[in-house]
Amino acid sequence: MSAAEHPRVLVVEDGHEYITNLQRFLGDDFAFTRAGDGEAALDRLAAEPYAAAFLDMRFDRAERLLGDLDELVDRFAGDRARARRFLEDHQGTYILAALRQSGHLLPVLFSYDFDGEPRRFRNLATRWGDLAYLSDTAGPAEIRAALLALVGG
Amino acid sequence: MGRTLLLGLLLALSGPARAVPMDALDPATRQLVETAQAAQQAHDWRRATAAWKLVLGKDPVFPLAVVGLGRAQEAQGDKAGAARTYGRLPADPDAVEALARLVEVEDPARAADLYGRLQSLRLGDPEPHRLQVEALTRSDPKAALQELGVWLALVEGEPDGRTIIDVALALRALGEEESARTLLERYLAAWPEGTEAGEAQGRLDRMAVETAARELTVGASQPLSARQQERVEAARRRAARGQAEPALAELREVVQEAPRSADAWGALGDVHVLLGRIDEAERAYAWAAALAPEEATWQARLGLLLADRYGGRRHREADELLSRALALRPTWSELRYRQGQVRQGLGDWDAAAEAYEAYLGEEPQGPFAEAARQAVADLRRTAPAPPEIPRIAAPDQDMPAEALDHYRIARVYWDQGDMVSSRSELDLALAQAPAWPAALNLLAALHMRAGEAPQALDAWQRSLAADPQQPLVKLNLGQRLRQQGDLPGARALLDEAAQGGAEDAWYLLAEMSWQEHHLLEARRYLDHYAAVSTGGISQEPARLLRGRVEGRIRLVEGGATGAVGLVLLGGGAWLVRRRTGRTLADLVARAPEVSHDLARLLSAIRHEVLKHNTTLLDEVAQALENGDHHAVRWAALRLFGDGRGSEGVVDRFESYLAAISRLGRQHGVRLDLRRRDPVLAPMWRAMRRLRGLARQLRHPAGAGEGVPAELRRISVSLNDQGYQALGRLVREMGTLRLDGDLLRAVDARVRSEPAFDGEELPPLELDVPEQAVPLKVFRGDLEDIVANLLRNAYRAEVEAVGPGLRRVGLSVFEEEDEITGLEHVVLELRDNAPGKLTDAMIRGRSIGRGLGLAVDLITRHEGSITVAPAREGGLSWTKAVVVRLRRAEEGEEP
Repeated sequence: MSAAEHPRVLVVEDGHEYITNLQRFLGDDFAFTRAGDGEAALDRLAAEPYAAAFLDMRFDRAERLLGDLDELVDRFAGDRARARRFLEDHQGTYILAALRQSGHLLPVLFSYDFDGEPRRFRNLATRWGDLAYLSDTAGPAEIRAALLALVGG
Repeated sequence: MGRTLLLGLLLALSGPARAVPMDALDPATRQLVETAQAAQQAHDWRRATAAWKLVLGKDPVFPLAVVGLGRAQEAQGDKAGAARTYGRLPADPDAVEALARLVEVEDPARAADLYGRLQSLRLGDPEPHRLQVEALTRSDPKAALQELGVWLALVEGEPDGRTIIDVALALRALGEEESARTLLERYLAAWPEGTEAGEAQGRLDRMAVETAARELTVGASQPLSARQQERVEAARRRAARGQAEPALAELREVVQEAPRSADAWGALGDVHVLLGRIDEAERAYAWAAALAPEEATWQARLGLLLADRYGGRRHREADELLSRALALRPTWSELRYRQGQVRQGLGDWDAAAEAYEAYLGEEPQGPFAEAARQAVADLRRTAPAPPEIPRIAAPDQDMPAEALDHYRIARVYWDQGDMVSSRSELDLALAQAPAWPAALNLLAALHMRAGEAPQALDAWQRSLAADPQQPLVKLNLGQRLRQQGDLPGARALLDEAAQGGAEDAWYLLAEMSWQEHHLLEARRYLDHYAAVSTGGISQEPARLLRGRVEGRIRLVEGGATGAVGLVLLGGGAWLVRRRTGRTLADLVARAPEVSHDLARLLSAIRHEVLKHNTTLLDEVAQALENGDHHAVRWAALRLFGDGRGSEGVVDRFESYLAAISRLGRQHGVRLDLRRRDPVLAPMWRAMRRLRGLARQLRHPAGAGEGVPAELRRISVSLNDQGYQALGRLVREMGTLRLDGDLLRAVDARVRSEPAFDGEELPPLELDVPEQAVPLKVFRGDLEDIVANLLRNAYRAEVEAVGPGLRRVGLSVFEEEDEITGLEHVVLELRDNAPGKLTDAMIRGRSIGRGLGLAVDLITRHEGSITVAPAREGGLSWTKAVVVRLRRAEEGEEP
């Protein structure tokens, strides 16, 4: 398969760890592009198609966060710091919701291990469809297999 | 996942392995090398020295021999000789590194230069840069800061936070406070959950407090007025009577009035400790210590807090603080004993022994004297000389010579720690002599080493079938049967072993009788043991057991009547049984209040020891197979430390086990985590096997062929089984099923409180699902939350609503967050008292202490609490306090 035919995967993370390692270890199988937050991901998807998205969960380094901070401040009795932490810790789900609500139905692979939260993952998959996740101990081979399964390879 | 890939990247970037010269050696020299390595393994340094010298006689610059000889010389205290030896190879990285480590304490500048040379010998390797930073920290902190930048640019993944903290401390000691602070802040910003983030944040906080205190204080700490002093004393008395919350409120007021009073801050810290608010206590003690740096009390309180309540992670800081306290009050002997414990936790054995000895010098008959003596004896104990390996008895005439050869080789491999090769040879021996007891006994030992207990039992049984006259084999077999719970079988074998001359079997029989409450029988067995024992590891335990047995017999004999004695005997045994919990499940069942601290420690093991460290074992195995020795040595450093006091992951695991044991003792439960606990015992055994590989991983050139497979097996035990088991345990501890019965029971308790005596409280209108709802919260905490909310509601009703008109309702339902998928259980407490409670009040803590406690508990469990208009019947309800707590996940449900 030529480089141009490689399935295109959008990597959404607030750092560069995933994109660096994915390109090094799986660069022969996929074409990776990075978006640093939810807004950037929406922009990328609006501009060009992707076969799948690789989505981080925690975005404590991102300046822009999706989600209603004021509503969360109310939920946490006015504790703004705690509300922001909540948005950061679960930002991946907010980005997923935004993608789906904008009509982007591409399959999504979470880098977050839901093994300890099967109900939560089921809730997300039921609502947003076409989801998968990686366990904490996944290596390059497992990631490759997961992405191929999502893109239908 | 990210960590695994990053380590793989590190390995990929590593240079090619050095050529292993062993293949080029002639057989005689190779034999000498093997002899030297075996002697090293057995700590027989003189024999190792002799063997290495012979090797160097043939090849004066053979790197393995140069480094081996140097190590042997070091071990015998010949530092000068070791330095000369290492100096033979100025361009060999292992020799250069060994020389640098040898001199780094006495001549850190020279060590820094050597590490600089090492950088050019191991291009691209960040470790020499880190070592140079460490050496420069002692000689030139500013240069260390510069080199730190170079090192950090090379490091992949999380850097060693301790190195960064050491540089910051050195800069601060030099008066470069700003640089020190900036460095710590950068570390925390880049690695907020780094391994040393706790210590870095703690030091940063204290620096801030000390700076603020300097600005605040002119001269000494502000003395309290007489009235303020009375209030502090009264608050202390109230706290001692269990009224910690009112005491806290009082002390907060005093601190507001006298912010420069170290005594007020210190008392505040004490009450925070009673309430379990450790971070608040730390801040308060830090203020007290900063305001009164000349007073030993606050240094000691802070140091002991860090030692006792952080699972060992802040022992370094604790040691420094205790040293400061002792410098101010050298006669504080108890503190020396505690310092000994802290240093032992740090793995600084010599310093720990010194501390214990200092305590004994001042208090030879003190309350900790016996413990201190034992500790010193254990710490100063030197390894015994390796036993003579007896010549193998002349085999039977029919024994094939080849079987004997294979057995001998198997024994040599066993001595070298190469279990896989040993097993291969042994299989060949047994193929020719399947009923040979000596070979079967070695087979059993190999199985035990591999954690294959059933196979070991089988091998011993076959050995006994071939030769029943083996008391030591019966002793081993009896012990295993006992562990498996086959007590009658164990007893029979131990009896035969004892009759056959295995003296320790008498002690084990005594122990079994004690546990079954057969005191006189236990005494008889101990008498037998004493009659035949000539030493050994059972002596001390037997002596202690004798004390307990005789004490219990005296108790029985001193009873008013035989019947009373029997009752006491039974009651006493029940008391012993009740107070001796062996597993974590026992501890949680007997002392549920321990759940928070225990969950924290178990989670720390799961994340700090397993997830961030032992997950690299598979990569290490791969690196060994690829001949990438540099990566293996790097991993060995991380796993086992540098052997000179810096703690490795294996030591950290032991520290956590010790912390959990202490937690158990604090709650009257003696844990046996290493043998009995179903979760931690297998992990401890796996760690022990890992520790057994330390030498080979530090010197991978000589590692046996079986090491990679053993690493992978250990990885499965720790990273698959152990990780999952710990996760399950933590999840199970923190869940309960919430139903109407629980809520009604809490309500009944609140109603029966003296504050509501004679008051007409409305019936609680309860609306709960039919099925109990699984919640992610400790039972005691949930009961406290509900009790405080009910109390608050009833009080508001009594104060503001007439009898007959009062209403309080509690609804429970489940809720799913549409975006995050998180599920919560909602407890909505409604009342019709005129609304005085608002979110702003909760936020600003303008609430009573009970509600404040509820808020703290809810926050601790990652829940939320708000005040809202009631959902239904607007005229009859005025407000609702809405509490959201995490629903338990599948697999977490109790």
